[in-house]
Amino acid sequence: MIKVEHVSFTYAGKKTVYTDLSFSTVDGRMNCIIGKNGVGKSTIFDMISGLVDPQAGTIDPLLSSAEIIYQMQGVPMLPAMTGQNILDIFRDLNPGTQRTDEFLTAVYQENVVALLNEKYRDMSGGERRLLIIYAMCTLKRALYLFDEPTSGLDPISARKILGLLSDLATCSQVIFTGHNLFELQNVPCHVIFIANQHCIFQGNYEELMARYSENDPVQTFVDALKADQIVS
Amino acid sequence: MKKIRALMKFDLEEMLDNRLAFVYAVIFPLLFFAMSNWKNIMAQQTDNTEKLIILLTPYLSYVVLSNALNSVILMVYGRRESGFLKMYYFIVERRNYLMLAPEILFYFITLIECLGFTLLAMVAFHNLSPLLLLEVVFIITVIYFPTCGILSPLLLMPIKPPSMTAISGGVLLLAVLTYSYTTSFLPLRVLTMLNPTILTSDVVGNVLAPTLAGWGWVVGVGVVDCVIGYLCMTHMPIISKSQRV
Repeated sequence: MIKVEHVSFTYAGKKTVYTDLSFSTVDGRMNCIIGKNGVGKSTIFDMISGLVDPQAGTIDPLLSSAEIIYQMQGVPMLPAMTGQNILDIFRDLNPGTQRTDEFLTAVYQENVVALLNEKYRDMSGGERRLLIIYAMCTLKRALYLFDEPTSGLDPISARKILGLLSDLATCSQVIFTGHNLFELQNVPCHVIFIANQHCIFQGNYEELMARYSENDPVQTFVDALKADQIVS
Repeated sequence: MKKIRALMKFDLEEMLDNRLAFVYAVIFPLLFFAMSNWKNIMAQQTDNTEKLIILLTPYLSYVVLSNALNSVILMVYGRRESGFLKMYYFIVERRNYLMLAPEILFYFITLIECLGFTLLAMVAFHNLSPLLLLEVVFIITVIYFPTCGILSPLLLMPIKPPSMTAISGGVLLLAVLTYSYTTSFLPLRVLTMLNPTILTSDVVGNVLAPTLAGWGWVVGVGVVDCVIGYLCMTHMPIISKSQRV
C-alpha cells in the first residue's frame, strides 16, 4: 500500500497542482487515478516514482527505481526498432526477472506476435501502447505506474490492457491514470478521484457510482467535480 | 556491463536504420581535406608519417568533437526532451547507463571513421604506415572520452531545443576556430585546454615529441574532463527541462 499524505506541489513560477493531496492505494487490485486533463495525474506519478519531490507532505513507501516500472502517456521509443527488438531489449536489460503466466502468453499470441517484425514507426498508436505495456508487464517489479494506458485504444484493446494490469495487480502494486469511467465497469479496481488540487473520492467503482449518478459514468464524473467534497 | 551492451545494441540497431549517420561526421572534413590539399595530392606528393599526422589533426579533432556533440550529447538531450530517458530510466535502473551506452558505441564509430579518414589520406599521400594507424587509435582513445566529458554540462542546463541547437553550433564553431590558439599565460592556458580541439593538438604534440611534463599536463586535463563528464552523467536530469512529457 502506498500512502500519500498532505502533499502539496507547485511548479516553479507556475500553477499550483496540489494543496493537500491525501489518498492511499490498495493491494491485490488495480488502483485508478481519475481526474480532468491537467489535474496533475502525471505529476503524482513523478512524485511516487521519486523523480519529483513534494514540497510538503509525504509519500510512503518511496521505492527505488529498480522496483518501479513507469509507462508514460506518449510511450516514447526509437522509431527503427521492431517489435522483436523491443522485447529483446526489455529482456536483456532485466535478465532473470521476467514474468510469464497464462494471461501474458495469451496476449502475446493474440496481439504481440503480429507486431514482432513491424517497425515501431509503422505501428499504430494503439499497437505501440499495447506492445510497450505488454513488454513492461513481463518485467517483475513491486510497483507499476501506467499513465493513461488505454488512451487512444479501441474498446477491445483497452479491455485487453486492463486485463493485463488486473492480472499484474494480483502480485504487485498497480496504479494507472485515466479519464474514462466507462472502462472501469466490471473491473476490480480502487478509484482515486482527484479534482481541485486534492482527492475528492476514493473507493471502488460501485461506491463512486452510488454516490453520484448511478447509471451514467459521464454524469458521475461531472457530478463528482461539482460536489468536490473529500470522502475517505 | 551486460546492460550497457544491451543498450549499445539498441542504439546500433537505430543507427543501422540510418546508414548515412555513419558518415555525417566525416564527410565534410573529408571534402575540406581533399580541397585544401588538392594540389599536393595531384602532385603525387609523399608526406612522412609525422607530417601526415600533423596535417590530419584538425580533421580528426573535428570528427571526434562532432560525434561527441551531435551523436552523444545532443542525442541524449533529445531523448530526455522526448520523455525517453524518463521512461527507460526505470527499465535500465541507472541513469548513467543511458548516457554511457551511446558514448561507448560512438567511441567505436568515431574510431572507425577516423581510421577510414586516415587510410584515405595515407593513400592520397602515398604513405601506408601502420604506425600512423596505431597513433590515430591511441589519439582518439585519449581524447574521445574527455571530449564527451567536457561537453556534458550542456545536459545540466535548462535549455529549450531551439536554443540547444544554436548553442551546440556555437560550441562547435568556437572549438574549431580556436584550434591553434596558444598562450603562455597559465590560467588562460588551463582554460584553453578545456577546448577539445586544443587538447587534441596537445596530445598529438606529445605523441610526436613526448615529455613527462607534457603528458602530465594532458593526462591531468583529460582526467578533469572525465570527472566533469561522470558527475554530469550521474546528476543529469532525466525529466525534460523545457516541456511536460
